[in-house]
Amino acid sequence: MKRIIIAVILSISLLFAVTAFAEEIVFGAALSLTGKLAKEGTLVKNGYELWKEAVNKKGGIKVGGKNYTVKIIYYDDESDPNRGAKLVEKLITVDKVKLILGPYGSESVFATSAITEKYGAIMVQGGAAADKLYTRNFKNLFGIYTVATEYMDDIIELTKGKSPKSETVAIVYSNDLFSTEVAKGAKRSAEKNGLKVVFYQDYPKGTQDLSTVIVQIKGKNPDIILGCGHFQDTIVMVKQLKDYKVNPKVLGFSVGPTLPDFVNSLKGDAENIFGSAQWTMTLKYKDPVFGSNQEFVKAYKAKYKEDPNYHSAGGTAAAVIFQRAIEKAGSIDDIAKIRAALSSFNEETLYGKIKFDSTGKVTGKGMAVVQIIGGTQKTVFPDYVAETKPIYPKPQWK
Amino acid sequence: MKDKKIILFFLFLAVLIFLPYIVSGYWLRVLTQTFLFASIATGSNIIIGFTGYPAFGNIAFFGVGAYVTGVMTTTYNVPFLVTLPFCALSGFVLAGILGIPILRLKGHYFAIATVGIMETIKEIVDNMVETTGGGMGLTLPIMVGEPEFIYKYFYYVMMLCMLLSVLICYIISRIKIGYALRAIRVDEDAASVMGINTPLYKTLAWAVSAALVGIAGGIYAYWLSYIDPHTVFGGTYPVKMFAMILLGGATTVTGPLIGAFILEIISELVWSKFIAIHGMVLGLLIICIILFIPKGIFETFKGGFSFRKLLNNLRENSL
Amino acid sequence: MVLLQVIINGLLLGGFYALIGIGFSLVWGVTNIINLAHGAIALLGAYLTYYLFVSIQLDPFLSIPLSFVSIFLFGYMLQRFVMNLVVKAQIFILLILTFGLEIFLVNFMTTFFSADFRSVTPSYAGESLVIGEIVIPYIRLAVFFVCVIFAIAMGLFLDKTWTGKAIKATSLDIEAAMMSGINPAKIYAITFGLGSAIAGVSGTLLTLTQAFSPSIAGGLTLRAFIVSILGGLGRIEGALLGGLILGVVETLSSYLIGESYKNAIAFGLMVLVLVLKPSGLMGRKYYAEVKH
Repeated sequence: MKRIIIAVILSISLLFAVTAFAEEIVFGAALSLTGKLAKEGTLVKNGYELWKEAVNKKGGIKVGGKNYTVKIIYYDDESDPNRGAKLVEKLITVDKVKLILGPYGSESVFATSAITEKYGAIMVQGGAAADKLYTRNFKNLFGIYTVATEYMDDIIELTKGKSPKSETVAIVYSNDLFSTEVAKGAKRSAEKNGLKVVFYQDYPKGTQDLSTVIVQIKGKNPDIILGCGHFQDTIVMVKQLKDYKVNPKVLGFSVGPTLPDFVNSLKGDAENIFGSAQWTMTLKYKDPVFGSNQEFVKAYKAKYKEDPNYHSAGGTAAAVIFQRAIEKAGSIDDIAKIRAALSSFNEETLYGKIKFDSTGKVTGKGMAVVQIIGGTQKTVFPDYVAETKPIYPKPQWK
Repeated sequence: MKDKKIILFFLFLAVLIFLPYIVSGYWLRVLTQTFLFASIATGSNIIIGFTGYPAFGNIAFFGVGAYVTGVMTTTYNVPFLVTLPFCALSGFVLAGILGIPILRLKGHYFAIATVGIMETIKEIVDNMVETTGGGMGLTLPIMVGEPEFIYKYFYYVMMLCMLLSVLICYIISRIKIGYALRAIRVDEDAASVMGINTPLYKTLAWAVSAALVGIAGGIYAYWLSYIDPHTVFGGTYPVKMFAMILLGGATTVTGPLIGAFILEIISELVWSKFIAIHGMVLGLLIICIILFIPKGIFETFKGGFSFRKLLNNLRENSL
Repeated sequence: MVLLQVIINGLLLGGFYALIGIGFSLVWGVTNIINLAHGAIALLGAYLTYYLFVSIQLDPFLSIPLSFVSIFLFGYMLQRFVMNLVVKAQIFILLILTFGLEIFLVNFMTTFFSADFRSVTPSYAGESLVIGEIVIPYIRLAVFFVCVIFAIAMGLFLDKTWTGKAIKATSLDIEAAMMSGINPAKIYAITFGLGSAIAGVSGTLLTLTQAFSPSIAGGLTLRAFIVSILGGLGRIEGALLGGLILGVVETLSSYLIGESYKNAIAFGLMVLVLVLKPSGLMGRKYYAEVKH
């Protein structure tokens, strides 16, 4: 009996000792774990969790000679930006957290960053690409996604100097914030590159039928078709393009081809379709926490038994950048110093070479272009990160 | 009994007035949100509960109010508070005009017509890209000032909005129009025969209801500082609104308000406990309210709580 | 020529809308329940089909009977043990109940089937019948025919069988039906089961032409709404007509006015029909109107 009591007392005091030694640094995140963005939100959360484990395994974040164990408080915003704002407020005022990891989705980042800005908290986000996020003169918001208006630049770039030459382009987009900006950027970029935009049309978000649009595109017979929408509409569009035998030289989408479900859903019809990617598994970048992008992919696969995609990698990368900035700032609670460290950030991470402009958006990172070849996505552009050459022009539908 | 109720109400009011000095920013926000729902539920109850017309798409006017404030503050730089009368006016006029044809419909048909109106307005807003930003949404100017101040500000403004709704409901319930509406609810044909101008009264009821919901929308827009058509027109708002009205009692003045408080607090507590399945829990909760206490908790538990009453309710409407 | 193609597209799409609408309209007309969970129930059929395709490569067209039977049982139980308990309550109480059910089902599916968008692409997908300049995708054509066959079969069932006649009788006058020995609780359950089963079949067909996730449930329900209103409640031929009209209106307005206006026009049309002819384009007086 006595022994048991001693053992209990010992283990309790040991527990205290451990907690007393390792101080904590607390981050907060209000993500969509249910609702329409549940999938992406969960992936971003996976990214954060992987980072947390990796950092804590190494002993935590080192600031001023001390090691801080990372803790992250999560809340579920149910895919409702308003609820997200409320929860970030809870993080800041109730949980006293000032280091906020971003949610997924432009609307959510929009609403929640207004709260962090108001309270002088700071947010690093790897989950939203809207340009509008950075036109509000916010000081405390940093984003690592290449913005929407630059999404299609690289696909258009890829077609340059290829033969047979592409001259005309059709752009179709969903009328939400993100897709509209992608389409605007694509149009601008196409015109800059001497392409003629022969069709430019929006459609309602989440539409279930695009037959009329497709028939109209068919009449224009464009060389390039760019779809700026979401996974659901992308699937509908590919199916109907094939139904109506529309055969462009390049078929590219802003969202879809980079997700594994794309090939699962479309099988052979996914072949040779291009997609823009914030990030791919094969990029060869170094990383301060994981060593390299490849190491990150390995760690992710080991933990979650599935391939990471740009959502989860974005989560991890945002956290890595946050961590590096905090270490550089030498403080875990001086927001001004952390902000300064982020503003002057210039480091290679698994997401690419990251630098921020004065508005807080990442610059010069660019997009990778992937193509579905042989049922898997291959990075085909830009050349210095490409695994293989792109297939151009796209063969006709089988 | 009557006095006791009034004393209770003012006590409740006093607590609400002093609460911002005690609770945290997060709970302030939860309460502001609760006031918002209470305003919508109370305002909508004029047409739904008092008049008996299930305006399922009444949230349309919330969206309209939100966009009136949104467009006025961004495009025309009108101060926020000045926009609120316009929110009320636009709801009033729109419901007044739409009410003339739509209120001829009854029951399901009316409910569906209001949903149709809500969706149509949403799509129109979605397409007016130049003024409303369309599906891209609209960013409102952010209020300047200390966060502490801003949160108290919206807390009190939203509270006033809620009190205004309650006050107007109370007045309506005491004057002639209130009796007319009650007569319409019980038997519209009989009311008409008795010489009540039923089209006028029900249109008026809907217009007032829309005006109140419109004000709530205006405040919401400025409070959140970002609106888009998919969030302000629809979502889970209509069903929450109805659940609140039912929970508190549809034919009473303060019922919807009490329903709003109960449901918001419950859902606040629910989703912090069951992150993964709170949606399912919320769905079940609504189903249970409908099955067991469709008349509202006050009507049901007048003489105290008992399981027998719950079962009686269940038996009453079953086939 | 383009116009003709657009109209054909609209009709093909309309066939699917009709199927979504038939079940909804039937349930509404007979039991007076506006089933806001209709879209979610359709998705149950879609997931069944998807998982059968993924696990044993069962062709979606072959999984139709399975969808029909299993979702019928689901709907039957639901009405028998839940809906029947409140069916006599005020209509907005029923509305909220079905919305509660919708929230529950959608979250259930999100939790267990994930929020991922799914789609089924069998090997013959994308083949089309080409007549001159007109292209008719086989899958859409097949979906259209399945929808029409179901509509006709439902119509025959209601007209020719005892159960069908009992359903009609109950919908017209529940008291009289009870006096002639019909058990309305059972009839309601069968009706709701049938409505759900047809929704389930439309979910099955949905997997072929588009991507789906639990989040599209509300959109499907809204389509069912419009179809029922356009055609008139409880009437199979009405729903068929309503579906075709909706399909053509959508594609035509998309072609003539602009893709992004098609929803506004569809909803506007619904409100207009409600105001001008609440009983629908083919409507006669039906139960819902007699009662309220």
